[in-house]
Amino acid sequence: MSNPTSTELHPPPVNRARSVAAAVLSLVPAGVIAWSAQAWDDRLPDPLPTHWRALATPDGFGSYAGTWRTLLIVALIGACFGIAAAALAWLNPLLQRSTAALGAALAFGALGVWLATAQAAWGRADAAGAPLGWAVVLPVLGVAVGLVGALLVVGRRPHTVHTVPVAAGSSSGLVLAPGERAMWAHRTFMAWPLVVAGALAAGGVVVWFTADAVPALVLAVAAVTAAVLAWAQVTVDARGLRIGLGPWAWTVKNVPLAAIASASAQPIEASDWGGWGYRVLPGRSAVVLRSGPAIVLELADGRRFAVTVDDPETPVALLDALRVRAAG
Amino acid sequence: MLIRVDASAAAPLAAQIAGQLRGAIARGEVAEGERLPSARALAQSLDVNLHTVLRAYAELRDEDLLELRRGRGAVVRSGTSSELATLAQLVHDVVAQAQRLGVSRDELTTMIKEQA
Repeated sequence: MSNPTSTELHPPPVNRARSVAAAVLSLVPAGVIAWSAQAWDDRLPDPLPTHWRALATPDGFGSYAGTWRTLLIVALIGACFGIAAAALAWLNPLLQRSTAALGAALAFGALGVWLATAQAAWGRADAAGAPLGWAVVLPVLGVAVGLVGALLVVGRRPHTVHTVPVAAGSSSGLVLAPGERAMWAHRTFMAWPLVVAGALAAGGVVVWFTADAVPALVLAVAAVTAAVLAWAQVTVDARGLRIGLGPWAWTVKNVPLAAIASASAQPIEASDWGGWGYRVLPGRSAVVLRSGPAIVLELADGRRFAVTVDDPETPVALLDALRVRAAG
Repeated sequence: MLIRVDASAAAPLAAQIAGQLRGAIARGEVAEGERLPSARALAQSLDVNLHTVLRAYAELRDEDLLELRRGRGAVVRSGTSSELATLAQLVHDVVAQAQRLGVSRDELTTMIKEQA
């Protein structure tokens, strides 16, 4: 067992004016869609093409009002993220930046889809002959503009300084006999990822019927990803540390014993690690299911890995004992 | 839950695993309704034969501590209090001690009846 001796310096908080500017930026696409849908009413056909085969022949159509309203809703959801990022001052700066970037990417992506549709069908009376062509890059460009724009406005990626925590050492008291074999396993189940997954799946069904199959599929994938987080199993044995997710504990992370430089038990804040789920950040990664006690590993290559468990002292003591025996 | 076994100890590995699991349930390290690691995963972690772990799981099922279901693995029986696991461990120890001292099953049963 070790005390958390590390001091994590927070990145500088996002300037208030900059957060507000980012929120306003993420509102721009919704404004453009709403305005242009009225202004271009007589230049665009009804129904509009919504899907193309080989970028050339439209094979999916949607009503003019339905198409722009759906895209407006997506852009507004993105704007909500942007506003939330500006409003929620308690958010960790890193989380605040990613939320702002996500919102702007979503909003500008929706604008890109709208502009691509308008470009393809511009000036035509009938949508049937409107090829998509080069306009296919517009949605991608929109996402890129949103991401880069938001990050430029809120500021560069924060620089974090981490001091290495002191290793737990042999104070744990767990000593393994030469022929002894030991393992520690812990399984957790939480309901909230299933609730989130249910909401995403419901959203997917709505999108499936009102818009296109592609965003519905994206939501379905997101729902499965969220649902899998409801079950987590952490195992420590002579091979190292392993994390399995989902009802059948699919291994998502495997840290060999030899790759571990030191292990410690310390409380972590989800916001310091970029939120919940399987987080990958520069130089460190984590499986975060809640804020609280966690196993924090310093790896031999200088990276860090953390996973939240209820009783991190026991697995840390076992890892220490296993490492001592492997070294001796 | 922490499971430790020693192949050089006198007790068979399956009995050691069962004893460790009983202790974990008794201490509340595994909660009621919680699923244990799959027998295969536990066998790999401890570097023992799969059937050794299955024997340990079956022993705990016979003591009504575990529920074994195909496809669902081993689940700590709901309604299993940690006291019941403690009692199962005590009974286990008493029987082992009786065997060591050469006390027959009948004599042991008589001793328990005389207690009540």
